[in-house]
Amino acid sequence: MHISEGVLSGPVLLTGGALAAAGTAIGLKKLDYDHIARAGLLSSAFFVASLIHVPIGPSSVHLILNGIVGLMLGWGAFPAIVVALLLQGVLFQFGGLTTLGVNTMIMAGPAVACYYLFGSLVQRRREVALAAAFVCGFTSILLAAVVAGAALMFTEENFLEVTLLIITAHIPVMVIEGLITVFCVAFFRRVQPDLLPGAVASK
Amino acid sequence: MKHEKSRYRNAYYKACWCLGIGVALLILTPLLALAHKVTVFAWVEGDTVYTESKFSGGRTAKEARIEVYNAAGEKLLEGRTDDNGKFAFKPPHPQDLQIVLIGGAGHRNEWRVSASEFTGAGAAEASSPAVSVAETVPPQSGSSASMSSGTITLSPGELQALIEQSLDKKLAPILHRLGNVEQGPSLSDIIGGIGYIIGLVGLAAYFNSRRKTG
Repeated sequence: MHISEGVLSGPVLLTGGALAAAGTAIGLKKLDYDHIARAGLLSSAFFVASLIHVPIGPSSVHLILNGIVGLMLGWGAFPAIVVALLLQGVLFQFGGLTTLGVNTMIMAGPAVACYYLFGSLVQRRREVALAAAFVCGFTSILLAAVVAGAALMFTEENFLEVTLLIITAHIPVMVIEGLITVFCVAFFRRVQPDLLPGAVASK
Repeated sequence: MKHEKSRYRNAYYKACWCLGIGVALLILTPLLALAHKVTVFAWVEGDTVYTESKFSGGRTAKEARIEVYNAAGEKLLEGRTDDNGKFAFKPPHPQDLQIVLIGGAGHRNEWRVSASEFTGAGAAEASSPAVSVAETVPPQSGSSASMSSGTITLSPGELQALIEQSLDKKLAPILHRLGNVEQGPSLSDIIGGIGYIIGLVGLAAYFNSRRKTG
């Protein structure tokens, strides 16, 4: 879902950059001492997840993990993802420097949205929490596809078609990420529930 | 209270360790599966340019749009790759070309072909006006077309053309292989990236503690 260099027009790049900068500023402001190490860990996980290639479906897709990053970091997902994307761009040539802002919005925007949508649910009863975790992992990719489609709308001129194309390509990834999120949430509920968002809010 | 805190600490470290091991596992997997970007590779045989497009997972880019520009940035032609991610065309005359692959959904890459790569009869008569506007040529008919235009020339030129042609034929698989070399990220890239992140965490922790004390 990384948009390559030279595809988007100037205004789209600038808008994406400005929004991503604002999100990162909010994220850094909210990132307190306890969350710095966590943000770093999730940033690393996000960074390497893009190397895991899912060979199912019509085109080439990889894991993104923005759902779990958002769930565990909230606004902190912005700085975590912007750093990981920058390194992916520089070291792996995924995406690019000019598209960094737009790509950050594509992945971190849905991450924060998922934090607000599902954050309060993962401390509930086990069944509710795990269902919410699956939907969280699934939705984060779905929303990312919609944002990517919106960014490409100005160049490829057909929002619906592009978005549907990206969504169909990512259906296997959505399911896999849903399962990964379930696994993580189940694990943290057992080992360290404080890591999950509901507990942070109640502190 | 103190006991409570150390319990919290312990569990936190345990979780960090588990995540760390997860990350380590993730590092090892790319050795098996590489990732995600689209590449285009082009080579010249005679006066025909062949291109091959694929995603870096090794999957070919089917039905992807290829646009060809000259040095001045004017679009010469465009076409679509076939089921094997291949597309071949004859440029109007040998010149510097920029081949842009548009893989859809925001994927794009490019490859440059310089005029000196053209060796066939076309290069010898570079001054002759353009042939018909380039059309998609299947690989087999492409080489026979360049042969028929090469045989009409004088015998030294003819010899030259023949040599070029057999060289093209011999080199084609090598060029083809070159294009297939997977340029995935290396282990050092991955570990380096994680190192950067750890460094940034340290930096953030430093500034955070300064803010608290200062």
